[in-house]
Amino acid sequence: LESAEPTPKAAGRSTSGRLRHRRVQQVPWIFALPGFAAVLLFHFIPIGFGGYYAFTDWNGLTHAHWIGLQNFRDIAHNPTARGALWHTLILAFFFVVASNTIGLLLALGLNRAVKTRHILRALFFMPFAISPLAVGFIWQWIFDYNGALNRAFGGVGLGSWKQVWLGDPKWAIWTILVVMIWQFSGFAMVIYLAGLQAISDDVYEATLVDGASNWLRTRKVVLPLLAPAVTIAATLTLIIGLRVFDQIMALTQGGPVDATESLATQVYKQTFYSGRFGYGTAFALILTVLITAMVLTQIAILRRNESRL
Amino acid sequence: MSTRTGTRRVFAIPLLVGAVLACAVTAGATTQKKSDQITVTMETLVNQKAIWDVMIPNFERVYPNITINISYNPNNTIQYQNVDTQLAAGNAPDIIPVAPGYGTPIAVHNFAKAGYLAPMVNKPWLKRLVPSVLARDKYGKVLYASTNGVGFYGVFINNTLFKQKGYDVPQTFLQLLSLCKKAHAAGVNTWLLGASDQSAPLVITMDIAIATVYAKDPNWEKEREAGKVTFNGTPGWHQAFQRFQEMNSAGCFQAGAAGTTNNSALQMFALGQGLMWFGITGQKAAIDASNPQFTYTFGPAPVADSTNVARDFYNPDVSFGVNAHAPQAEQQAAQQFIDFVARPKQQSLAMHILGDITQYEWLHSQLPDWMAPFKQALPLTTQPPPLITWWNADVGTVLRTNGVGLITGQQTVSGILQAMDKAFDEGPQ
Repeated sequence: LESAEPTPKAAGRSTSGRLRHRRVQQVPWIFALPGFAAVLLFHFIPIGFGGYYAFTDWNGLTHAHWIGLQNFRDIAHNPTARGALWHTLILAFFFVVASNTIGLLLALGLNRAVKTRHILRALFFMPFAISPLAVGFIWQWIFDYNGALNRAFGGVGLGSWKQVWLGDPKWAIWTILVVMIWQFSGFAMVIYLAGLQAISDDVYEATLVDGASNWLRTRKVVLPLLAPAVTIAATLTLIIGLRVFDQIMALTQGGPVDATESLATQVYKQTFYSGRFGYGTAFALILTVLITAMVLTQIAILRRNESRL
Repeated sequence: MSTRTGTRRVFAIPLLVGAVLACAVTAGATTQKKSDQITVTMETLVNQKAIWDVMIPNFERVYPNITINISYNPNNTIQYQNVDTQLAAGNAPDIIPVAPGYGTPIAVHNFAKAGYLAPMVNKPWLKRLVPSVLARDKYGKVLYASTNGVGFYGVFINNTLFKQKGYDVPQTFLQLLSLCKKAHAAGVNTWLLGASDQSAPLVITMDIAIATVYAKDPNWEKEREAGKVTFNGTPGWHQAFQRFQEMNSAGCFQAGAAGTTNNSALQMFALGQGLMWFGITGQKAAIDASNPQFTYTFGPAPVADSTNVARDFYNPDVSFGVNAHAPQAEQQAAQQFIDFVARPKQQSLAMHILGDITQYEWLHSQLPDWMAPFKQALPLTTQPPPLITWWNADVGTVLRTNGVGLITGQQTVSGILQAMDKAFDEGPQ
């Protein structure tokens, strides 16, 4: 048997090797240090400060004073805040359902050997590449009472369909939803396309051999295999839906009379309109907790479904 | 051999960083020694760009050792956010845009109270200022801001359409309602309103309140602060909001006003699609840009019972303060720039580019031709926007958010006034 103990010479070599190895290993950490410090400084520390300011009366100009849970009590008693929470949930729910449904249908349609599929994929994805604020301003021009949509209705003899899209509390929130769906369905489509293209051709061939119809193949084979893509697309769209801000600010600024306020617009308005930085960060904290809780719940449910399938 | 190389690498990195820092420090010191050039940073709204494109080169010709480095904010909302954040972070520009009085996130009162503004002393331009504007550039007895121009709220009048339809320009509220009914029946838009971005109902109701509240009781604000009166308990405030509703009922506003942006309403006016558009004189440039051939005049809003009472407010414009935390040399240069812009010729040039007038021109009733109909109302126009005299920005926010509700049916007059009282009672910011 060979001895497990190294010879003195071998031991010396091994120690110096370890030292060298350790030093070489340290170098990448030194390079990583500036990046790590930047992330800590500009990401995690501000989040920590934000968490602290949520419990203060800070006005952005003078010193902050600790006021405990007062900001959260004020939010609970504020009808605008309750409305903002409700609008956020409504928008997020319908946005997730609609953008994923449309995205999936587009992906199924464009996963075929259609000649124009590459152009169509690019066209449907293009809105996602535009800034949401710019998209909001373009749609504001369309939805304005004298804008393109009402003019188009008037032009084709459907003048009675004209609506005060952005100024009527019945319509305003749905116009925002339309804009969000228009912008992000292409994004969901890309995720589903990636999922569809990951399905092996053998699976399709096997279903053909078994004589499965298109509908049966989609329902029983394709959709179950798309479950991971559903988890990703639904999670990302839920996050986008819950933090909706740009479209609202560009289209309605939360109006008419708070009819389209969301938690994110309240964060902004309370902080920068009213100068109530502490109160605004309390809203931000609530939004963060809400997004985290809902996303984790959704992921857990979808993952469970994935494993069942 | 390789151990040495590794060790060298480990020591080489801090050495390299140190060398770079040393070079940077030395270079900085050398540059400073080489030149006495001072760069003053400044920030303002992009709609003032045309002014500063002229003023800054003029100044730099006279003061070649000072460079003005200006940056622009696209709108008030972004400006509020930027200025507040920069002040809190300690990297605000040397010349800060401010709004006189209280009531906005960049109010002189708030910034001076927090110690962000440097005092302005022994200013040669003080004697050319209107006392009520000057009072709002002060905190306590100390002057902290320079306001260069004044805009007036009122109506832009499409004289061609009035003449074409055979209508008279209304002067009183009753005449306005009568015109609205007549014009509405004839399919003519009387008052183009863009209510979807919330600011129009805010300024119109405040303007009406000048006639129904402030003209009757100039001390109303002080009484409100003392708790002797309330918004909801003041008949004049009810009347102001009711008049806005009456205008809506009489068909003054075009169809879909609640879903029309203010910019869209301005465009409609510039295209001759209505008799009047309510706005501030500083928006002249935007109307001219939309349709350079369009001619119009500017007059008082017909919202009062007679022409002998105040019925519009003035708006102090292009106001700046000096950052008290800027280095002394930059502060001094910033004060020099502010003094230069306040010179009569420069100030007049700048304000006319914007569509405003200077305080001196206001004091001497020197109005441009297109503002001729406003001349009679000028001596009565002594009230700034109530928004900047309310001690709490939330009062204005309540009015801004809820005003459109009087058209959409989401709000009642009492509901809004109670909410304004509640916001006011939160106290000064």
